[in-house]
Order: sequence, then structure tokens, then C-alpha cells
Amino acid sequence: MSKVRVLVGTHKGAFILTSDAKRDKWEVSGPHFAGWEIYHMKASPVNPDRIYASQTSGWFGQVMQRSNDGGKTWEPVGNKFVYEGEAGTHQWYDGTPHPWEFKRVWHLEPSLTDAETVFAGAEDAALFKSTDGGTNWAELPGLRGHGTGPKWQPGAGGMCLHTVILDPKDVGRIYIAISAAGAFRTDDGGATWKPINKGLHSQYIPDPTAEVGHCVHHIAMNPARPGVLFMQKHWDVMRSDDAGENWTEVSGNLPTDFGFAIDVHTHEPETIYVVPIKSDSEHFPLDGQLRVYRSRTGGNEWEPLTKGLPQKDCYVNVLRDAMAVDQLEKCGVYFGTTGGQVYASADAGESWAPIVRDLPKVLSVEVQTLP
Amino acid sequence: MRTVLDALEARYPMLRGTIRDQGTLKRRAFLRFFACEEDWSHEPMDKALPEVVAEGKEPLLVIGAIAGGS
Repeated sequence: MSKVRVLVGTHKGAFILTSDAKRDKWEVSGPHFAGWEIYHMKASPVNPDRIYASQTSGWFGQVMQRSNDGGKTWEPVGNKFVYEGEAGTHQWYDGTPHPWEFKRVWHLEPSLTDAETVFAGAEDAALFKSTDGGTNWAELPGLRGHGTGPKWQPGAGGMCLHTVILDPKDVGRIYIAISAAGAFRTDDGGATWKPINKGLHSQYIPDPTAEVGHCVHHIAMNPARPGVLFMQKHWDVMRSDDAGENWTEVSGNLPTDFGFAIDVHTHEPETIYVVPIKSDSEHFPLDGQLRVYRSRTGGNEWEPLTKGLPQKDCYVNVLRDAMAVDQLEKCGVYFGTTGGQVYASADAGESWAPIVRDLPKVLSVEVQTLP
Repeated sequence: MRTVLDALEARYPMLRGTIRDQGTLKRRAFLRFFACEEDWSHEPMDKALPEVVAEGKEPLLVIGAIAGGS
């Protein structure tokens, strides 16, 4: 029988939750790396026992961890992230030039074809790549160097490269997103890049339709339709049908279109999930009701999913990398909250139940579907 | 101090970047060095440690600052 393994990164350690395909009884392993912020963990699709983790703390900085046995044991690997050449400057919050400084790895994206290759999205925004299982990291300098880099500015959470999407049908195509610079795409494996923000509208920047400067919170893509992207922005849910060349707003009837997480049903590429958050100053659900919203039409028409989720006195947030879907026939959807809960739905969102309730603040959720 | 930290990192490569910045080799802001009950955090890296430390009779302590965190 198939199993699922949920990889949960939290403010104070990593947790690994496992269940069979019924997804109703769970084993909880952890905390691994107790006391450390685990920004992200993700497994190789080529070797599901190979998992990479970003372990960070204000005291000791960045450590990268690798498991070869599905998260039972770990070994530290390379943690040297150096900006190539003259790092230069980007804009600071006040618009003044500020040197690029590495702070942490926000997101790990293992290659779709090689277990030893993995990409790391970092703060201050840059994309790094390792081809030796994380032992050595090299920047893909074309991203910062394509021309708009000096104009990039951090969002409140830091200037983080938080989304990395690999196109399964085109090995040279990679999408990334940066808060608060926007979305970018390469078609040559990372040598050259272009901003893909046409159609985004951000009222709080001097030019609301600028080439860069948009606070993209997360992008999701169904691997079966690699040219179709869904974006949760700092306000607005957006959609592109042409690999990011153009975006249109699909917020539709959402009660609020602010949020962080977004994901796509594994088997239904037009079914998307978001967790609406009240506003950019109040990062919690409307009216204390935790609701996942689902659109089965690729946006615009949304329905609330509430069964099993708290509908009063709930003031948690769901961060950008804290939602995931599994690949079982009845698609499972998972998300973690800043209150330490991890919720799972074994029926595509119709009903939810907490796997765990009292973890530290959840920073990220990924899920593996195992044979 | 520099030679001690160089030797420590050579023996335990996973510690690189966790005590000193990878690039500048400066002490990380929330790490502190102590030797013989004195705070050596702000001493030059090339200053000679007390003899008792150099002889291995007393340790060089590398401690995370007791900052509140969250």
C-alpha cells in the first residue's frame, strides 16, 4: 500500500509525519535539529530517501543537511554560499544601495532527473545549485546579473528567493519568485533570465505595473501543464497560461485576496487552493475562521472549505511554503500554520483533520507519495 | 584564536560558517569567545591566547550569546 511522508519545517526543528494511503493515522518523528529554524525540507523525486534540509539560526547561521534514509538520519553537507564576482548592491527599504548579504536558504528544489543536483533559493535573493548532493554550491549569477538586480528591494520578511519551479518537459526552463522583486524565468538552465511580471499590478510601488518590484508570495504549477502558473501575490491571485509572459487576475469572489500559500490539485490542473488572509497588516484569517478556498475553474469562482477547520477564534497564518499536495488518487492536501497545526485532507479539501496540533510555528510543508 | 578556529574547522568542516562568517572570517554576531573567565569576543583574532589555553590546560569557550531569541 502507498504511504505518504509529510516533511514539516518549523521555527524550532523539523518533523516528519508518515501515514498509509488512508491518511488517518499518523506517526510523528521529531524534532530533528531541535531548536533550529528549518526553513524547508524537500526530497528528491529520483531517490525518495534523499532529503535536503535548510537549517538556520541567528546564532550559527546556515547549515545544510542531507538524509539518505528518508529522514531517519542526517549529515551536514556544504554551507558555503558565496555570491559570484562583485556582489554589488540592491535597494534597501529606504531606496538606498545596500550590499548583497547572504542570510539563509529559503527553499530547496531537487532536480527532477538527478538526486545529486539540487537548487537553493537564498536570501538575499540568489539561486544556487549543487551537483554533488549539497557538498558544494555555486551561484547561477545570470539571475542577479541580468540587469534588474540593483532595483530589487526586500519585502518585510527579507529579500528572499522563495519559489523555484522546474519544468518537467523542458530541462532548461526554471521559474523563480522573489519577495519583493517579482517572478523570473530562464529557458537555458539558468544562464540568462528575464522578469515575467507583465500584468501584475502593485498599487504600493511608484509604478504599479513596473517590470520588477512586485511582492510575489508564491507560485504553483501542475507538472502536467508546465506552462500554466498560479500566483499568490501581496494582494491578488493571478494566473498565467503562457509560462509567465502574461498574468491575469483570478481573485474573483475570494473574500480577501491577500495570502501566502497556493497550490494545485495533482490530477485536476484547474483546481487550485489558497488560504485567504485578512490583510497585509493583519496576517490571520477573516473573522477568526480558518478557511481554505478552492477553485475548480482555474480561478475566479471560489468555494470555502471549512469542514474540520476551526471556525472561530482562529488567528493563525499559513506561510508561503507551507502547503502541499500528494499524488494519491484521491488527492491529499496539507498545510501547516503559524500556530503549529498541520492539517491534512484525504479528499481534495472536502474535509480536514489535524495531524498534529502543537508544533512550533510551521515554516514549510512538503509531501512525498511513496510506493 | 585564529589558529584554534582554523584547526577546529579543519577537523570539523561542518562548523565552517557557524562560528565565523564564511567570507569575512569575522566572529558571528551572536557567538562569544571566553578564555580564563575573560570575554575574548572583541579581541583581535591574532592576539595570543593565555598560555594555559595554548597548553591545553584551559579551554577556549565558544558560546552562543544568551540572547532571548524567539
